[in-house]
Amino acid sequence: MPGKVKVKILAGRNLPVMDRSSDTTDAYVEIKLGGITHKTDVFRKSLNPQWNSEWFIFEVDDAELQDEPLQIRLMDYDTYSANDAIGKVYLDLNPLLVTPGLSGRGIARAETCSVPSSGGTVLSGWLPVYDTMHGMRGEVSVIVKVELFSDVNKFRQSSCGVQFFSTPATPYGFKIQSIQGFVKELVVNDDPEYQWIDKIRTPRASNEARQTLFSQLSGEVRRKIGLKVLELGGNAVVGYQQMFDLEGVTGLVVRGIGTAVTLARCHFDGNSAVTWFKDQHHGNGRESPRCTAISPVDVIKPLVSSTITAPVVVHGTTPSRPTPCARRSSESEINTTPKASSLSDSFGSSGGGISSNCRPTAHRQASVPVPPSNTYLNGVDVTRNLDALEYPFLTMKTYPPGFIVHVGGTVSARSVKLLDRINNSEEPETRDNWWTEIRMEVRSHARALGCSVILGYEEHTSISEEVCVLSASGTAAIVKLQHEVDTKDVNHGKSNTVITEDSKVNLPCRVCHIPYSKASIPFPIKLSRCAVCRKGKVPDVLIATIEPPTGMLVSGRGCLIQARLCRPKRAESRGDQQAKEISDGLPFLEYELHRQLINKLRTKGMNAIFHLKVQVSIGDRHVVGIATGTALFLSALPTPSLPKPSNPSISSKQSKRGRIHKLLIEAHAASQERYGLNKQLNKVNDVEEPKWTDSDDTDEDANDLDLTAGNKDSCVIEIDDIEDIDVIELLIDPETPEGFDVVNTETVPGLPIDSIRRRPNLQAFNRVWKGKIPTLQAARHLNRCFEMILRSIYFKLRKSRPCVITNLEFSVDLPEDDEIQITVLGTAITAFSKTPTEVAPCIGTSLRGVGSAESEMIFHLEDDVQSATSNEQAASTARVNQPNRHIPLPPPSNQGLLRTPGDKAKIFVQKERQPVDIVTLIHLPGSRVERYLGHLNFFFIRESTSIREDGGLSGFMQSFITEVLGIVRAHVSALGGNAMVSYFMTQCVLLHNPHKNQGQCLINVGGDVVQAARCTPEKDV
Amino acid sequence: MKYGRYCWRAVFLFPQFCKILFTFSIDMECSVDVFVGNTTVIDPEIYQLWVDGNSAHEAADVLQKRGILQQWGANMDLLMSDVLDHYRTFHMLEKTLHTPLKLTATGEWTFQIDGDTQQLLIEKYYELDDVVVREVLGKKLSSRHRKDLDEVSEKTAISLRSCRRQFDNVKRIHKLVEELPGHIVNNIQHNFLLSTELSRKYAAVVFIAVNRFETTKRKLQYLNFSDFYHCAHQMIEHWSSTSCHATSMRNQSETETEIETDLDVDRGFLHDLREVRILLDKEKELKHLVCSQLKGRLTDKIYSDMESSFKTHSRSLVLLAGNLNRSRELRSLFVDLVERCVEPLRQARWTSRDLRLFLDYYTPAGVQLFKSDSATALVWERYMKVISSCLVKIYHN
Repeated sequence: MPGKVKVKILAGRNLPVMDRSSDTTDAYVEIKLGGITHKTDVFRKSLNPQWNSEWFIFEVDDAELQDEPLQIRLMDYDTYSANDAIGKVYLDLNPLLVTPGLSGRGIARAETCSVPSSGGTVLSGWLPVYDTMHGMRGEVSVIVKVELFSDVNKFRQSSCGVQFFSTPATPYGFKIQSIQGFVKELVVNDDPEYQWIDKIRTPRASNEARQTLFSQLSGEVRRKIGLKVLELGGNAVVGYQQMFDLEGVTGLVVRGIGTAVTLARCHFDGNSAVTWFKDQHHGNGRESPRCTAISPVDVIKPLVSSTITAPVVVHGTTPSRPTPCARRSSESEINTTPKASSLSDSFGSSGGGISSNCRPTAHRQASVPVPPSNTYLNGVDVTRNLDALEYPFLTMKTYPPGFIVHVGGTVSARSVKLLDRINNSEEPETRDNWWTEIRMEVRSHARALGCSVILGYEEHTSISEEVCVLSASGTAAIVKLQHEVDTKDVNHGKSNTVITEDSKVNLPCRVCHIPYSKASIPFPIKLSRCAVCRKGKVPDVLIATIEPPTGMLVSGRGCLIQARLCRPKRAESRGDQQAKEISDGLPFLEYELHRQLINKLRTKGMNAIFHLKVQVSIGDRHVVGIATGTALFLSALPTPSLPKPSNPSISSKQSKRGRIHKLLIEAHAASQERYGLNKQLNKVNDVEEPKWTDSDDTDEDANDLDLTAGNKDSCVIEIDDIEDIDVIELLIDPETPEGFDVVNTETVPGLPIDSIRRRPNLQAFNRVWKGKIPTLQAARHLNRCFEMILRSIYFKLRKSRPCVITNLEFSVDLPEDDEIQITVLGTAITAFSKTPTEVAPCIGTSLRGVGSAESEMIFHLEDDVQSATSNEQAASTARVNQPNRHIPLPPPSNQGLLRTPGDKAKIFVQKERQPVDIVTLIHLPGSRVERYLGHLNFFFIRESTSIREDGGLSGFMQSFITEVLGIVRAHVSALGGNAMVSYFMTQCVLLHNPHKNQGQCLINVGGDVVQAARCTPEKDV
Repeated sequence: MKYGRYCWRAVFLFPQFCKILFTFSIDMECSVDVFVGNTTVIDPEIYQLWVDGNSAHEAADVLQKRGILQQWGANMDLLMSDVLDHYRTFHMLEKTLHTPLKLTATGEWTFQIDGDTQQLLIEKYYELDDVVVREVLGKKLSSRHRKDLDEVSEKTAISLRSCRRQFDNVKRIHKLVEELPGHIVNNIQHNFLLSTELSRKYAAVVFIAVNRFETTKRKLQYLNFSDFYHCAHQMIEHWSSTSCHATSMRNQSETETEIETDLDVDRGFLHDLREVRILLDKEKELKHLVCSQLKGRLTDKIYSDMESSFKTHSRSLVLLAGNLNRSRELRSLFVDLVERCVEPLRQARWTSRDLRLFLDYYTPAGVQLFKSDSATALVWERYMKVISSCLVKIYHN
């Protein structure tokens, strides 16, 4: 079905000089959509051309609308030679395709805006013109309108109505009526950079071909996912993640995963019962994903016996003792068997086909087509539908209160693959199968933990030459499917009270209780009674990839925790050999990473990690593992004991051990002090110690001993050699400077409300660091790099303390032999320093914040936000009326002859330009999200052959990232938004050839465009 | 066993060990080290150092001496990385700062900077050092002179980079404003978004440059920039074509409003100034008028000098006025003032108070003598207003 796109090119400005002789440019514009191209007239000899063109109309298929970006190319007309390209603008039309019914934007538009086209939406504004060789080159002013005819054809190829959110939560102002489940799509193509034609075309042409292709593939993946969502009966995708795997010679893979949901606008007018995992689309829902999934599992390259899945690291357990654990991890094939059997034992089912197959391939083959038919333990009967879902995965990180019943722990699976040429890009089966395998494995791990769903699900790859490591991870959990979801609660976190009131059923500590019965634990684990309710059993450490659920009892504050590991790898091995080596090494890496993480956690005196993200990167010489999370102290879980150093073998090292022990104690004490754990601890000791020695305690201990085979003290660090001493030194993080709170979650758990200012200054930042790793002591060096990067961030933000750094995200690449590139993304929330009066917190809210620990957990900004709704108009007017401090003094009054009063006014109106905030968070602290205006996903390539002249590689990168952010801001503004939430940067590939003075960088950025209203301080009172 | 083996390796590796430690300290060097925020981060302190022409290393040294490392618990590497980050930002910004209107334009998305910071950036970038401007003043703003800036830098003890920046700024503003009609201060303010004070400085420089006033003569070396600044603004205010003093040219000026700029001295006025030569003939009366008024107000010594050399003093002022319509005379205005007025008076040991008193009575006396010709009286008054003010200002050592 057709859609109509209307484009009008108004003007250009600040264009570069293309004609050296006259110092001007003869510019015209080519507008291309799909196969159709329109042109404007040539505007001669001007750097600020005014085309004011007529409306160019494109009538295109709506599938094409979704796939193809609108390309606006500025050209310089040349009479005698070929016309030169000035630059291009890529416009993703998807944000304009959302049908009015769903988004709420359309409704509002229809009401408020006087847009002539019915149902269509408009994009207009100055957009930066970008050239891959020169960067930003002026701006062009355009208006784009889309008129769409709705399509109800059953066999259609498009999915225009489906809205995409990269926000991993329920978008503000919406309620989730039902969750249709996990959706995924994978598209494979040749990478233009590696095609034969690249040898003869210019770098610019090659880069542009790539940019266009990436844009198209991105659109295609979204369109196909949208189709699945429509089949499932949903209308939106939340927690959408899109990844580009640049496999090099073997091609390019674009993957998208997300959670299909049915969203509805919520009108804040009462509670409506919401059925999660609605049954109605059951029949349809099963068919479509299954079709793609049940493809014969034949490993294309059976040679690669290295298709080895790395171990499940079932966090939530403590490594009882290094030796047994290591054994468990390394022999993954054997490992699966007991787990599966324990599953079937406990639930009396066949456990699918997960019987005694030792070969991983065989095991997968068996498990794919037969979804286990038994119901798992949890009282909710709707669970049956979960089995119907092939993948009970949810990509969201934040859930409505009460949704999560129990958190089992983190489950993850990795697999090492050897890349081969994709013969037929139409059928990307191989890649699909790879992911199917790994997803099945994650699912089976979750089931081993007695959990039915996986929350906060993520997938990643790391590619080095022809070896590729696929990882998938998530948090196994049991969720309450039939849940009375108060929409207000969903969005504004007010439900804490609701939950605590009926404490019989919904204990706040329930989330921490183990979801499996004690008898059926498939692995050694130390359990104890819940410190809050004394009924449930809790593990001694809880690790999850999601945000801390609302309503969890936290004492003290959370902080960043990170384990870093670097293992050497032989560089000379290739192909199979290399894959084998990596897959052999992975279990050890993962085990070490986990051990380091747990020991650090204990050193900090905390017992839970949320938002854990483990990244494994492979390079030529090293394999690097980074685990980042937010550590906190859950009241329900037992107080962790400090790791004790021991070295049984060498007695002469006693003194050294003592020193290390002292160091650890000092670090522990410092952290207790820093994160406010002291108070809580004392309380725990005073009140709870007596009860602890009661009857059930002994019973508990005995149980423990049985399971862990006599290793009661599970956290002993053995010091056998010097390397181990290093390890201990690595355990002790330098303290975060005063005035900084650093986490990788949305908000700092346990931080009182008034600490985050009323009108915060938001700053999303990108930090890119690239340097050398020496071959010797690489691990130590890696640690230093990270410490240095963190410290440099603190130093950078030194003048805006107090400062909260949230959503810190690290990614590591090993591009060259001995090089490491670390990319850090985060959002700094700082006090709005310019107006100190606004900082004063209001008494009401701060009291609330101190009073209940639950309200501090998450969403805590929103309750003020909601109360602010009514005064919105007041807010905007107040802002406008703010006195302008920088109006120059009027010139001497007796010279007023030639001055027009309008002049001056105009200039200073411009200064009132509203900034575009970009945050990596799902919410905007200090503001309220009013509308979602679409999902943007950009792919930029920048190349330069004058790196030295551009200020080195750093200068090149800095200007590139600056420009990219500028372009993002321009597009946000053109769509009518004033902020971007859930900002991401998934790719940052930097290639450098110092001999040719040349460099190239690829960046993939994006996020959700929103319109937000600032909350002014007076409203909060 | 394990331990033993390790020791063995350690012993063997010992020569390399030192190397490892050494490389650790320097090997943190990296090829890329950037921090890019959504809002462009500007540190006013570092910006000032950049504007002052310090290199990144110099700036880091300065900051280190100010104790920034102790204050924030950082090391030199962090500081250097931070400074370099800022310097790269400034470098990128510099191009935009050449046209401040672009920085503040609505669709400018490259740098997201709040209004106050924008103002700070612009103001600081266009900041002028009086000593440097004094050197630049009256010189042709050509690349030849740009090369000579190292001498200026040496003389003024201001870094060469800063001198170049100021030179280029003056040149840039001069080039743009030269042709614009209307008030120069306003023009500068609107096109470069500078504060009034700074705009006035530039206006003075541009005014002097456009009218090619001689300022570099040896005799004028004692004058500093604030003297010229004062004089230039006096002239802009009272002598330029747009100054709203009623003159005989009034009718004409109204018709030509569009193209007029206060950069040009009102030609008609200069032409009319020839008429004041009549005063040469009425010297006796003039002297009488002035002397009678001043008697008792000046010290005896000065009074007697004034009385005796009244003719010379008056003559030089009147002749100056009469010749100003010749552009060469106008150009050498400052030289003439110094040579013919300031120096003789200084020799006679007049104080600047004496001079002011003298001028206060001299001007109205002249007006009184033009009783019959009110137009010329106005011209005289307009002339003397500026000259008195300038003379008083430049009458110092």
